[in-house]
Order: sequence, then C-alpha cells, then structure tokens
Amino acid sequence: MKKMIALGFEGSANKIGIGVVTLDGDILSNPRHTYITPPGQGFLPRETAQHHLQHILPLVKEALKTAQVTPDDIDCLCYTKGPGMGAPLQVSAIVIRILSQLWKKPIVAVNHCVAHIEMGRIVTGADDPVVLYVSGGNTQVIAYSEGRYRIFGETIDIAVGNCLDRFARVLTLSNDPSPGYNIEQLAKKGEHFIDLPYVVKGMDVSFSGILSFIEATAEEKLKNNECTPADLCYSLQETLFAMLVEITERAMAHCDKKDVLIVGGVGCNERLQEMMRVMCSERGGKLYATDDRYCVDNGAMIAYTGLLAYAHGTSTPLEESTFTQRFRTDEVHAIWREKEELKKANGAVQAKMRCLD
Amino acid sequence: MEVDADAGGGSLVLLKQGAEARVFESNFVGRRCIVKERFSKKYRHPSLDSKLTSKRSNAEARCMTKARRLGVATPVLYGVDPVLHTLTFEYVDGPSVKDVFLEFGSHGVVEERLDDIAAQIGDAIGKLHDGGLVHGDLTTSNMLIRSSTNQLVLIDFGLSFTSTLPEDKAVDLYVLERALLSMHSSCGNVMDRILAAYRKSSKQWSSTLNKLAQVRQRGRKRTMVG
Amino acid sequence: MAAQPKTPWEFSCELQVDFESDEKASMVYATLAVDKELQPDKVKRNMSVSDGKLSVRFEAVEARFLRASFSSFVDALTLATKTIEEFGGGMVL
Repeated sequence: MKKMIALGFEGSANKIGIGVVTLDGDILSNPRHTYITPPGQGFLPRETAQHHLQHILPLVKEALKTAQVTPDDIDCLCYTKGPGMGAPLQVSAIVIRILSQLWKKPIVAVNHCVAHIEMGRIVTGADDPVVLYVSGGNTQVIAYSEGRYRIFGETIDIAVGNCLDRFARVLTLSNDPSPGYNIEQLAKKGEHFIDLPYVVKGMDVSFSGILSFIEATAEEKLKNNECTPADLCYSLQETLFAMLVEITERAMAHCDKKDVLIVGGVGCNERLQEMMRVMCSERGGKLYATDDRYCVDNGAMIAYTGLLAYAHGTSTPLEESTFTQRFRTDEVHAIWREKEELKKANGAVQAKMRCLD
Repeated sequence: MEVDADAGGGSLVLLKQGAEARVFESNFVGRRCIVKERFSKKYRHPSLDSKLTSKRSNAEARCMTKARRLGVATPVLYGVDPVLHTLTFEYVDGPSVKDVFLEFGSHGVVEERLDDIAAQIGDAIGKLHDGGLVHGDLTTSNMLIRSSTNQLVLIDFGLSFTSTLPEDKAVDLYVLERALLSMHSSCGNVMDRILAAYRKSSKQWSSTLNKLAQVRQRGRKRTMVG
Repeated sequence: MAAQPKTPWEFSCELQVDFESDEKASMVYATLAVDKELQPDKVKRNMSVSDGKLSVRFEAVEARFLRASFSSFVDALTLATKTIEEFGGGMVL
C-alpha cells in the first residue's frame, strides 16, 4: 500500500519551514529559513511576515525536490493555524489555500504546540510522558488525559524563551543562530552564582520579576565589575531551569507519570536537558529530548501532526482555514491519541482473554 | 535514612516520593504519624538547593501551624528537625480530594458530596487568605478528606507565605482553578462552587476576585509566539 | 454645529486585477475571502469576480485604517498570485 504523505507549513514566529513527512514519521525533507534580527532587537510581526513572503515559495520547491515527490503524491496540506503572530501565520495560510485549489488536495489546520508534542513523541519514541514545552512564546507542562493534551502548569506572565531573549538583548548578544544558544555558550564560562528571585506557584512559574531584577542587577554589577556577563547568564539559566524542572517534577508526581519529553526551541539547551535527566533518573524515569532539527519550529512537525489527524478523518474546509494568534493546546481534540489508547486497552483485553483460553 | 530516635522510635515505611520530599509512615509516642523529609535536589545549584530546602521546610512548619490558628484543619505538627529537614506530624486517615474527584470522573458525580467538598475548600481558602496566608500550591493532591469526619485537611505548605496582597491571593485561586481544569474536567463547575463558598468565607473576597479576573485575562491575552 | 457626513465610511478605494481567467480569479477570491477584516466597524471590504477579473472595494472611517488594510491585502494578493504563477502551470522538478 502507498504510504500516506503530507506537506506541512510552519511560520508562526521568526522561522518559515516546509516539511514532507510520511505517516510512519519518516521525514523526507524539512528545509527552513530563520529571520535573524540585529543584536539588541527582537522580531516584529510585519518584518517577519515580509521575510516569510520572500522565502516561502522557494522553500516549497526545495521541500518537494529534496523529498522527490510531486503534488500528486501528497495526501494533504497542513499548516499552522496558531498560536503565533498574525501576519506571519497568514503567509502559510494563503499559500496553502491556493495550493489546495490548484492540486485538489484537502487542508488540515494544526495547533503549533500539539505539533511540537507529536513530533517529539515520534522522533524519541516517548509513549506517554509529561511534556515540558519551552520556547520563545510558550512555557507549559502538559500531559495527555481523556482525549486532550492538558496544561498542568504554565507561566503566569512571560515565556522562558522570551525571558532569555530579552536578557540577551540587554547584553546585546548576537541573535545568530538564536539568542538562547548564545546565552547557553556564555553561561558555560560563568563561575559565580548570583542569587536571583525564584518564583514557583504550585505547578505554575513566573519569570517577569526575575527579568526585571537581572536587568537592573546587570547594569549595576557590570559597571562596578562585580560580575561578568558570563556569571549572569550562568545564574539566570540555573535559576530558570531549576524552576522548570521543579514544576515538571511536581506534575509527574501529580499525574503519576514517569517519563519526560522536552520540546520547543529552549528544549535544545543542553544544560536544561542535563538537569531534567538528573531529576528523571532520581525518580526512575527517562528523559526524552531532541536536537535543534526537531526542537526548533519546523514544517515536518506540522505535516506529521496534520497527517495523524487526517488519517483519523479530520480535515479543514477551505472557508475555515483561518489563523489565530491564540489557540490553546487543550482546545484540540487529539483523536489519534484516543485511538492509540483504545488499541492499547484492546490489546490488554485480548491478552487477558488469551490467558483465559 | 537513619531512624530518628526523637521521632518516637517507630520504623519508617516509605509511603510516597513526592516532587521534593519523601513521605514516611511511622509512629510518635504511640500515635501513627507522618515523617516528611525534604531531600536535596541534585539537578540544581547547591547554594540554590540549600536555600530552597531550608526555606520550604521552615515555611511548611510555620504556615501549617498558622493555618490551624486561623481555623483551617491541617495535620498537627509533632516535631521539626531543621538539620535533617524533616517534619513529623499527625497521620490523617483518608483519601486525597484528587482521588475522590477522579472517582467521580469514572463512576459519576455524587452531587451532595461534591458540593460539600467544594464548600469546605472555598471556606478554608477564605480563612487562610483573610488571615494573610497564601498556600502557594493548591491542588487536589494537597487536600485530604478525613475518613472519620469527612473534614477537609490541607497539607503541603512548603510554598506557603504570608501576604495580604490581592494579587497573591488571586494567583493562589488561579493555580487551583487550572489544576481543576486539567485534572477534573469531568466534575463540572467545581471552581464556581468553591468560589461561592470563598465569597461567604472571605471578607475581602471582592478585591481578590476582581484581581482573579485580571490574572485570568493575563493568561489568555498572552501572545504565544514560537 | 458642523455638518454631519452622510456616511461614516468617508474613505474608500478600489482595486482591480485582471487574471484573464475566471478560474484563477475565483481561486484568489476564495483564498482572500477566508480572512475577514479585523475591525469591521472601521474597515469594510467587498470583493467580486467577473470577466476573469477580481474587483475589490475598501471603505473605511479613517484614512489610516484604509491604508493598513489595503497594504496588508495587497501583500496577501501578491503572494496568492505568485503561488499560482509558480505552481499553477504544472510542476517541473
């Protein structure tokens, strides 16, 4: 039987990516292009959309060519419906609507956060983990229950990636390849741990207080030569990541789950992975993490998640192929997970019946 | 772990490994008790770790006692060991509210019981807040129902602190609301019932609930980019 | 008292693109019709297709709303058109 194939479009933030994927999770191609702003600057919606406009069509060609597929081979076209920035999201939505009409292929709208989770699961083989989703716009502790990915903990103000990005701007670190990566490298040279606020509220965290504290501290202490930028990066990472590991562990205890999967751009950070691995091993569980090919926003994750939904009978009519800046992880009915759970339960029942025979 | 002679000489049986403490069952001069040991977390920086461990152990002992004074049922504290970071307190016999609610989820809600528990939760939080105490980790795992009396008992005060700010109280309620949504969506509008009881119990309910609306808005309005 | 304008929709502009094909014009129409104007009380957009042409009329209560809507619409229109040009004539790998 022919394998099902999807083409996926991701452009919710500063990356535009197109991926071609099969239902078994084989990634046939996954090119992407990142909009990199000068040091000290963040990315704004309009400029980011202009970047995506310039790169999207060549990327579609590249994705098809590398994967060696033609439009005829494709079963569905998947795009990020949200959450994200409006104007950049619209770029993928427009192209997908035209291609759907030209090629007579169905559309599947995908939730960006759920896509990170499904990509992480298929790449690492994690079955039913507690998921820590950490990126420039999101900080969530998620676990599957009753047909949905439910949010057990999250930031009550800014995202962890946003906190890191904004601190990188204070130090005017380069945004190439990403501000978080440059903080991570600098942190390795840090020697002195500086006490920072530590704000955990149950399974939720807050980062805005830490950011304003370290911004003020940085200015004063650097001027008086009391610490180095490396010390600040080191202390910031140690504090932020300890908070993330703590709420993840609390969610594990609360939901009775043993393993952790880290997804999202900040999930590439090796120090975060190391801390999480220590915590998991103390609990007899396992850490699943991926590298920047899958952690960072990409088209393949959208293609794969859309294909899962499509294979279970879901698609999006053209008139409903909208985009939205806010789209919560728990709004999505993860029908494919329900079927998986059902299969597992049936398997168990059948095994039991065999025993009875 | 070494058996602490002060804890009454009883043997220790591990009941549960929580997120940051091991919970043992033991006995204290003939009474069934719980020994809670906060252990060091190897993943975090040693100075951050020791700061958090002692801070939370102290907060728990202090706030648990303070909550009792405010008329909220908590386990009776028997002893504190600031060096080993262990607390010894009364053993409460009964299920967690989490287990009761999960049971409702799978076998249907017993409305009367749900109403009673929600009312007790709202009443308890109202008393804490009016007394200037914020629990900091209100989840259904941290609430027990004493089997003999059906009385609600609050536990796990490690993240508790004193505050009279509406913001802190509102976040306390917000954390609970989110915990209910994620784990007990099949129990319906428990939070509304809790808030109704909270309104009756807390004199400052109006400023707290106004703030709660703002905290919720913040959650929803946050742009989620990347 | 100042004279009231007859209608609050004081500012308007029109745009017409000739695709020389009803099929293409309808494709672009269907694509752009999905995204509604974000502030319908400030900007209205009407589109129609005839004779292979896509016609669009904008009406707004203030010039700045008209400018913002028009310019982002043109970006979307250009992208849709380019996509047809690049992928419409059969694909050569």
